[in-house]
Parts: sequence; C-alpha cells; structure tokens
Amino acid sequence: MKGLSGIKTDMSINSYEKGGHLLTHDDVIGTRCVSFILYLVKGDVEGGWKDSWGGGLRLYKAVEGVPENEPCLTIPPQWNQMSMFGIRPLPFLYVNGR
Amino acid sequence: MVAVQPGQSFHDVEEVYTSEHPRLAISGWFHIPQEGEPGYSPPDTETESKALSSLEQLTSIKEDKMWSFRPLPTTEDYDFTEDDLAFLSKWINEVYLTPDVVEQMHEAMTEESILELPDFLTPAIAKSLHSHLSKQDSSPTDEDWQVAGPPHKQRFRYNHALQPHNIIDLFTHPAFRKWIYHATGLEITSERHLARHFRKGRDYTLATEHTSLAPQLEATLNLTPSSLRPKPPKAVGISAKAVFSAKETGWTTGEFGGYEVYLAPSAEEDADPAVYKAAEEGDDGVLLSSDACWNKFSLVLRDKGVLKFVKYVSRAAWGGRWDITSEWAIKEDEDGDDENGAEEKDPEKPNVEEEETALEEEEEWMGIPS
Repeated sequence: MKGLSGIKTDMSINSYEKGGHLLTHDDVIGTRCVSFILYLVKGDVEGGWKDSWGGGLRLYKAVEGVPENEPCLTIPPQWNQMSMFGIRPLPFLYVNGR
Repeated sequence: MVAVQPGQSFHDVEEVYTSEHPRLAISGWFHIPQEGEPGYSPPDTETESKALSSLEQLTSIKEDKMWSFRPLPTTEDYDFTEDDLAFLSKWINEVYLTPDVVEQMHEAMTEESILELPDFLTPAIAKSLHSHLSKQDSSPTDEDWQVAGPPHKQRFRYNHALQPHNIIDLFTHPAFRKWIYHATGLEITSERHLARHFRKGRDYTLATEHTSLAPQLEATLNLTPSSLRPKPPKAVGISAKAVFSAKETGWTTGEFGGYEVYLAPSAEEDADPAVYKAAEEGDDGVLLSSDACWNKFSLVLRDKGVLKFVKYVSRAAWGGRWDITSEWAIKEDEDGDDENGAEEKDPEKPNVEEEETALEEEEEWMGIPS
C-alpha cells in the first residue's frame, strides 16, 4: 500500500478540560490510514505540560487483534508536538489490492 | 515529530487531571487514495466483514469464560415456604417481602419494565458490607479479582463471590427465583452473576446492545461505599447542615462518572460511523440512568436493541464503583409460538455487539465528561 489521498483529509480541533478522556479504540473507520495529533497545549509554563496533568496518548499492544488490558506506552502532550501513527489493520481490501 | 507504530493502532487519551490547563489539540486522519486517485483499489467488504466477525467470536468466547449462563431446573412451584421467607428475610429488607409491596412492584414492572429498590439489603448486612467494601475501596488488593477486557469493550475487576457476605448466594437461591417471579411476573430459565469493581481513573464499559430477540431480565445491586460520604462543606456562609442535606456529590452530578445508562436503540442503524452525531436536545434516548449509589437494587426488562454502558470512573472520584450485576433469560409468553422451545433454547449472548455500533458509541460518548 503506497500513497495517501490528496483530496480527502479530515481534522478537528478539540479541547479536553479536567475529566475529559477518550476510551480505547483503533480509529479503523472507512478509509482512514494515518492518525495525527498536533498539540496546542500550554507552552509558556515552566517545563511545559506536566505528565501529572494527564491527557497522554496511550498505545495498546494487540494480540490476535485484541488489545491488552493496559497500555504499553504513554506519550504526554507537548506544545507544538505532532504525533502520528498508522492505522492497523488497514481496511482489509486495500491491503489485498497491492 | 514522533512517529510511533506499535503494530496495531489501539489507543486512548488519558483523563486530564488539571483544571488549570486544557489539553488543546488538532487531530485528524489522512486517508488512503480515493476513487479516481492513483493507487485506488475498490473495497472488498466481504473479506472485511469476515475478519470482523472472527474478532467478535474471539471476544465473545472471552466473555463466556468470565460469566456464562447457568440453566435452571424447570419448576412450576412459586409458592413461598416458611423456609424461603426466613432465608430471604436474612438478606432482603423486609419491606420488599410484604405482599402489598410485592404486588406494587409487579404492577410497576409490568407498566414500566423498570424497578428501583433503595435500601435493598437488610441494615445489618448492608452495614457490615459497607465497612468491608470501604476498606477495600481505600486499599484494593488484587487477591481474588480478575480484570475484564478487552479495553475497546470494557475494563473492570470482577469475581464471583463478593465477601464477606456472598450476595450471589442470595441471587442463586431457589427462594430468590420465586421472589423474582412474584416481583416481576417473569419466570427465569437461566442466570449469570458477576461482582464488579470499576476502579477510579481506569474502568468502564462501552455501550453494548442486547442482540437477542427475547427480552432479558437484568439487575444491578449498586454497592458503591463512597457514595454515602457527604460532600465536605466548603462554601462560606452556608451552614454545614444545609450542604449535607443537599446530598449532592460528584456521584450524583456526573463529575465522578460511574453511572449506568440504558439507551433506546439508535434510529439510524445505517448511519456512517465516521460521522459524528450531534446529540439532539431532549432526545438523547436515555431510558434509565442510575448513579453509583449504596444498596440500591435495579431490575430492568431489556428489549432487543437496547444499549447499556457504565461511564468511565474519574480519577477525581472518592472511590470505585462497586456492584453486582445479574442477567436472566426468561420464559417466553404462554401464548408464544414455541412455548416448548423456550426452555431448551440456549440463551443468546447479549453482549455481542456490532463493531460499528461500538465505534459509533465511542465517538459519541468518549471524552464527554458529563
């Protein structure tokens, strides 16, 4: 599988206040291929965003397609940081096609 | 720039713990080539749906290991003996054993399909259970508990015997089956029970659908010890008494999460799951929403398509949500077409959900604190 669409990209801006969270999911919907997050969190506080404030992006290992109960990696937000990850599994057809 | 690829793309966003700084971000997705673009290949929906259904099977096998339905012997004897009543009165608040009240419950159940019974266990049992669970709540031990998953469906701790009083012994007793019959008019044919602990800052269930055509009887005995704690008075100028009597806590305002919700089936089953649905004011489809509380027993007759979930418990909560959850298959109506088949039929698994439904619900509910 090579290439990304040049005509379809979507994005939204979102603000998580205290208590805000997003439960575990895999983003596998439609033709999504790569997820991205560009953090616009406070950059002018000393030391930047603190891990203890939460809000980290947490990744889960999957065994036979089923995610483990606890995350294997937490990436805390930082001002102007871009996180990207490939969406797996890709919609099956497109993998077969190439 | 950080590029991460752990092989699969399951992820979540940890709760934000600070009220000082919002977690502001732009997020989105790049897509594979669309029709008309170089590299486009047409979708193969058959392969896709096969793979999804095998994943569903894997998940439902795990679900069965956690709690599988136990068939009950057939019976037509629903008359209480003295022993039955003596047994029940050791556990259940005597109010709910008096014939008048039982009759009222039956009527309410017939009309509303929902019964909520506060102060369900006797004061003696409730008191000792509260002291035990409060200790567990402040310093949980992993002993005797297992963790339910997978996290894109649910996460909580569970076991099959909530000590020191194993209430599941009450629920599985033949006298309780008779009580259920008198309180609801329903004859149960198989059952399963689970003691659950939703840890703060961790646990939840996503909305799952009751997929079988036959309605299912369900109950939750809510045993959240910290829900009894009054909110500490802090407002100046208001007497402590006034604040205490309001009985409003993070459990009742939604701030702590941990509430259980039944939702009417979604009208737009074929809606594109990638499109966020805006909840319409006054039409959120909520059939029942119960806060995490102490010693309340809720009975619900759940129809096909009705969704249910337990909201993520915030790390700000005073403790976890504790409960005992039960499900019963019920005997079909006498005038039903296959009266004889009703009891032999395996109760269908109620928690097998459509992948799309799960995703759709996630998109709708996750991240929204209230």
